[in-house]
Amino acid sequence: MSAAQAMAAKPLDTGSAGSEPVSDRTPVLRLEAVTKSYGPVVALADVTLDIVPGEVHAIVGENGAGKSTLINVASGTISATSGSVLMDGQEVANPTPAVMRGGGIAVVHQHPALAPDLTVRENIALGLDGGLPDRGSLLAALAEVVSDGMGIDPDDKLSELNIAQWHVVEITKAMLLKPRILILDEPTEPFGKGETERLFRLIRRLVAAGVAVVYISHRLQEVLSIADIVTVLRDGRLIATMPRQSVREEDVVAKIAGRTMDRLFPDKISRPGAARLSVRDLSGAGFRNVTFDLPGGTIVGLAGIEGQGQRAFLRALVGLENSRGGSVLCDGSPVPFGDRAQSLRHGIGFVTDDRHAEGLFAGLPLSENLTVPVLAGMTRSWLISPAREAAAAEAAIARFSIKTPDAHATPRQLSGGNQQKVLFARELGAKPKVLVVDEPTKGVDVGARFEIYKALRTLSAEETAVLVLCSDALELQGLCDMVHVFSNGRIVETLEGDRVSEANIAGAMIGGTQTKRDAASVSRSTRWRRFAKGDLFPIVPVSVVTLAIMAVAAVLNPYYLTPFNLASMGSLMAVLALVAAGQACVFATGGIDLSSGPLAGLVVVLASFLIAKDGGSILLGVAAILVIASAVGLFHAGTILLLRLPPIVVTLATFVALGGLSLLLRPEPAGAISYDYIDLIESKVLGIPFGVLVALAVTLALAAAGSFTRIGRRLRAWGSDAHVALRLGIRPAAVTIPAYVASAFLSGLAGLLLAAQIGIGSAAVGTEYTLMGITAVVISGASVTGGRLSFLAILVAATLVQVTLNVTSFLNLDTAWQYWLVGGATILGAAIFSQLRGRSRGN
Amino acid sequence: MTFPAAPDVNSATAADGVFRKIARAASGSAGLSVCAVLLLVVLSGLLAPSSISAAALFAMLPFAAILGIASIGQQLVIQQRGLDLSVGGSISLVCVLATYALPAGAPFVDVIVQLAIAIVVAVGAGVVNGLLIARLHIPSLVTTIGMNAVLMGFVLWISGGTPGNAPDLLDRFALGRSMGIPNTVLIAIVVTVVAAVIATRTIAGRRFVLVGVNAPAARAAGIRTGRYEIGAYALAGLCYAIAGILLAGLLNVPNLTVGQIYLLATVAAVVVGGNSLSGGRASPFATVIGALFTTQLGQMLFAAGLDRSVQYLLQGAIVIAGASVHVFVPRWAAR
Repeated sequence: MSAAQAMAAKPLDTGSAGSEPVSDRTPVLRLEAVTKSYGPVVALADVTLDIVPGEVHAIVGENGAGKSTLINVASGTISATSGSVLMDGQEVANPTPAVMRGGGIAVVHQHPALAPDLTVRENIALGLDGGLPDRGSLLAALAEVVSDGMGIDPDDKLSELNIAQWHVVEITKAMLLKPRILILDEPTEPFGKGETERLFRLIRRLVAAGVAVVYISHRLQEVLSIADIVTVLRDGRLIATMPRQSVREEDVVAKIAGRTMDRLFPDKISRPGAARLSVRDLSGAGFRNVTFDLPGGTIVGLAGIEGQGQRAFLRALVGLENSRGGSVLCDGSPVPFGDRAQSLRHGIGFVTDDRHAEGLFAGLPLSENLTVPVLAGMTRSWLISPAREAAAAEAAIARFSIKTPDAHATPRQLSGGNQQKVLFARELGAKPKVLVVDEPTKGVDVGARFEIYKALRTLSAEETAVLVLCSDALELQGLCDMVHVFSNGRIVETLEGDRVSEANIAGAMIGGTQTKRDAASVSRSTRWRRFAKGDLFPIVPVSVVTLAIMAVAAVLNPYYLTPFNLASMGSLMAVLALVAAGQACVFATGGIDLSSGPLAGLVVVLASFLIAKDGGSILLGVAAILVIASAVGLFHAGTILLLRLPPIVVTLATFVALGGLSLLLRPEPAGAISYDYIDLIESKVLGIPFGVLVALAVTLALAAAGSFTRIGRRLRAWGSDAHVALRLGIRPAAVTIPAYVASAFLSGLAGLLLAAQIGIGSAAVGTEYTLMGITAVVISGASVTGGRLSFLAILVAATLVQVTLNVTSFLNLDTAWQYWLVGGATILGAAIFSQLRGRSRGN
Repeated sequence: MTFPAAPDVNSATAADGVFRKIARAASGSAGLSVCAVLLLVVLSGLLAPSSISAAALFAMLPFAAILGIASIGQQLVIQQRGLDLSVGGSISLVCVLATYALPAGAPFVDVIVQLAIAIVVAVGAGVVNGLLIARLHIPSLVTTIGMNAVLMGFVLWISGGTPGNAPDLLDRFALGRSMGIPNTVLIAIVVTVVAAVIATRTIAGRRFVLVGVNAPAARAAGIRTGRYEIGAYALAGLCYAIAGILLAGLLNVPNLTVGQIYLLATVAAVVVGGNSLSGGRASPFATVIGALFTTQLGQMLFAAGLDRSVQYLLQGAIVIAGASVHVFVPRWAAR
């Protein structure tokens, strides 16, 4: 039975609820007439597709053909504009990632959805929404995917693994979901031949067991060696669905590329001049040994499948990234590496592919957008002349026929095409020798495209060299006089003259993709190495410093190591450790809670009312205080979520407001706190102050919760990479509320311990704990941007801070030292850890 | 200070441009703030008439001026998407340096030298902040909260725990008036106008705004973004120095932690003035009006018999309300 017949057979009417596991061509998943459009751009047009158990269904097409959109619809990541998704013949009413996952769909993403600061086990647990898998079974699962699991240890952090290992983890995660439908998006991208073959054997085993596999790749030979059914997409349309046996490779290539020339391009009038830009042996991150000349008067294109180094090269060429070796000469003078300002001065203009993030100044008027590179020419006696600026802007608007109400309009008010024209007009205003353009017509309507092509031609006729990077082979064919095709970081083919055709470009892009060599056997990380790179490691240096300080103080002052001093230090440390632990909960998500100190202070004041000397039940008072503190945390989370205010602003406001509240309740120190309560807190168990035990217990509980509970992993995943967390279905509220409530609750607990030490309701205490808490978190090695932390290290760091503060009085140091040590440690700790992390991430 | 005073052919259109800009600013967020200040004056008259007597206003204005100057510094940092938590330590330290070991009758040169040292120290602290943030990529608030502690350490170390007296020259200047206007107010006006002219009419000022609006785009356009970020903290230090010196003169014996109230107050002034907290363009005029508003509000509440504690509570509420208005207004406008 041919695929066309299968599709026509409408097997939906079978009505048999119990679907047979073996290939009887009853689709387990069906996309019916699915269309997805983004405004005027149609990414997917009326596509109908059946996914059948026991078959590998390959989907092929050029960049932008709609492959990713298709799998995003199938996996519930995006919702279709029209059409429906059916599972086992039943229409899925609301396809979300969770619903589709529940239906047995697992997706191996091209960009793995993994949190870098979490371990392999933790990432698997997050992805499966389950508990931590045990090491043994995870090692076995990894070994199933790739020989020896590519040296991955279940307790490695993802940030310590390379890109091939990330893919292995992503595939393993999908396998562990035991899917009925497995969607693989470019799974072999970083793999070598042996690794690919092993993955294929695994896929064949799954298929034999009745799993439906959807396989997307640009490596055509690979695709054809595994596929049972091949579907070709082009421009968002389904061109053909064919059984593998009945097609040849050439047919598929023809179908992938066979677009009609539906766009107008200006005539090519290339008369190559002298080389304006010479690139010699340029190497950098993602590309190597790139050599070519860019002659004036021509338009040269760069092509390649996404991620083959062409964009990395382009960005290095304009100075946005660094280069390692080689040279770039612009009109004979060498251009320094990695310095955008210098390369602009040498005459290299640049138009980005992401005009919102890196191109336009969206909130500023066009007049100010257009004059950015030519500000020096806008001045009159040192001041910018609005008249000159307006004139220059009007001229640029007229020359590029930018459709705008006036020069005061902001880019937000313009269409995509006109926004792109603004960028071109801006760069051309500086009269560049070389113009480098990344995706000249991305998100630009058809009408404006021709104008942009025309502008590029006119420019090249004026002896400016033009270099365009473009993922659309048809556009390259129409626009360029010469095209360099990238693969694996280097130029593999150069097409000139008549050979610049879509078919040749597509052929070179696909054919040139050599299979990479297998990863050299990666040495498995050792237990020691994992510890050295882990979150617990800072405990070692921090403890050493702490003990050293204590030793020095003990030698210099005989009164230092007395039980009295140790106990008082311990009690103070307990307060700080709790505040710091609370702060850490917020830091873990990438936020901050400035109010933790004043909140602890407010609790002291509250205690003077609710746990008063002649008051009622202590237990009731403690409970009431903790409820009030938690309410403050809820207020923070609510304000951050509902009003979308930055955490720093919200908690800075409550920082002052809570201080005011304390002062309002206790303008003067008053209200003795219950002696029973103080005795309880100051009592010792096995010689250890009660407060220290509380801090110890809370730290251990938090450490366990952070590592072994779902919420702990979610908080850290959010701080590690919020985009990944969102893709995994974690909602902002599910992270923000627990983090801020925990922070406030722990500050409340700290305040309760502090109250016993102060003994009276005073509005003058607490505030300093905000900084001290942040200091302890920072020197514990926790990442200030979220994701990495260890509550045990924070406890040790809190001890260090307290020891340091305490020792100044024993060494007769000026009180100023308390401030210098704490402030200096914060800055130094943040600097040291950010440098260490920066280096390890860079590798 | 240079103004485009030279009469040239285009002066008419240039002036037009300035007026148009003023008109646009008035109809924008600064205009709203002016309305808020007027409303507050009316409210003050109703609730606490004594707070709008000439004497009360002349007592309030120097504090508003000082807050305005410090807030312009905070505004520069906010424009670069940061927040300067070291403002309190910086102002406190400047106050100590401006009063340290100077006899009441210290000669002019001695006073100037010492004030210059204070300015250099405050700017230096700002440069260190900026370097740590722009070059080592440490988050702004971790850096500045640490710097605040370091500066407070110097406050204690230099002062030895006891505040000093400002020299008579400084006292007389800070309390004095020129042409009937308090000197502090004149300085605030000068600082505001200079800041506004630099921001809107110079190349450096324009690039500063571009970096604040979209740093990656500014980098792609060949602007060295790090310099402008560092510059924001350095100039903020300069503003804190001017504010601190005037404050020392005004108070004569400034408390050692006198700067710390400026932490939230400066953020409040920037926000109440209607400037966005998400960086980019901001108006020094709006910030100064915000400072005027918060100071007069404090005066009114004080005159109405409300305590300092209530003022803190209100300041917190104002910051949240002020910041969320500017979160919501664009959303409504977009509808």
